[in-house]
Amino acid sequence: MAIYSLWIFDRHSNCIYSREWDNKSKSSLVNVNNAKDTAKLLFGTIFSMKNISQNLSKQNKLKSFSTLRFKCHFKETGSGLKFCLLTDPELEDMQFLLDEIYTSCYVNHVVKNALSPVDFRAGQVIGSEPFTSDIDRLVVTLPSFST
Amino acid sequence: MQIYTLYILNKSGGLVYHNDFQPGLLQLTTNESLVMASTIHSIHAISSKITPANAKTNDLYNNNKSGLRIIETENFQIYVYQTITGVKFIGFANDTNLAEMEVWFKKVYLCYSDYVMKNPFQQLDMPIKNDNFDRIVRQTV
Repeated sequence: MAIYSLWIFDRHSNCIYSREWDNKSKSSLVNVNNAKDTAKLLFGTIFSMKNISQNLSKQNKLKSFSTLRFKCHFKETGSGLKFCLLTDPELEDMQFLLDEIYTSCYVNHVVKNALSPVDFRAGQVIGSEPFTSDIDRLVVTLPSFST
Repeated sequence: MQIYTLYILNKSGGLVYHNDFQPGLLQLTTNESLVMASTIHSIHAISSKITPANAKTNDLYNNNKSGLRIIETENFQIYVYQTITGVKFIGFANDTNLAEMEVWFKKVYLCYSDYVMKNPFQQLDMPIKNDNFDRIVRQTV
C-alpha cells in the first residue's frame, strides 16, 4: 500500500502543481513533471473519462479509475480545479483526503493568499513551500502511506 | 448486481458487439456507442503509460497487466476484461465488485468462444450478429 503522487490541474487544463513521493530520490519532487507527458496523458485520460461518465448518466461525477498497478482518485471542484491522487490499487476510497487537501491546503495557501494569482497563466505553478509541507503533513501521516 | 450494458471490442478497438440488458443509463446512438468504445480502447492503452515509476508490479495471473480495469463514477462503474488475444469485454454495471464481474466476464467469454468463435460463418473482427449468442449472454446476467 502506498501513495505515489498528487496532481492539480486548473480550469484551463494546465498542471499547476505536482508532488511525487519516492523514497529513492533525494531531491524533493515538487513541480518537476508539470510540463512532461505524464501530466498531459493523465489530464487527457481524466478528461475522456469525465465525458464518458456524463454521456451515460446525468449529474454524474467521476470518482476514480484503476489498473492492476495503480489507482487514480479524482475530485473536481465547482471552479473547475481537478485533483488527482495516484495510489496503490488496494487502497479504498480516498475522496476524504482530496477534500481535505482542497479545504485545508489549497484554500488556505492559494485562495487566501493575496500574492497568488486568481487565474494561473500557462506555465505558472504553485511554488509555495508551506503548501507543500501542509500536503506532506496530511499525506505522510496516513497509515496507508508507506513508500 | 446490476449489469446495464456489454460491449465487445476486437483487438483494434472496434465495437463488434453491443447489448443493453436493462435500462438505467442514457441511451446512446450507434455512432455514440462506437465513439465510446474506441475512447475506452484508447484510454485503456494510455492508462498504462501513466503508471508511476515506483509502482509495485503485481504477479497476479491476469491478461490485463497494465491497462485500465475499472472506472468508478457516482452512478455506475465500468469494468474492462481483456483476453489473451486482445479482445476486450466491457461491462457497465452498478452495485457489484471486481471479483463478481470477473466471474461474469469469464462466463461471457465462454459463450463467446462457443457461439461466436465456433461459428464457421463468423468473420474475425467483424460485428457479431448471432441470435443464439444474444440469448445465451442474456441468460448469464
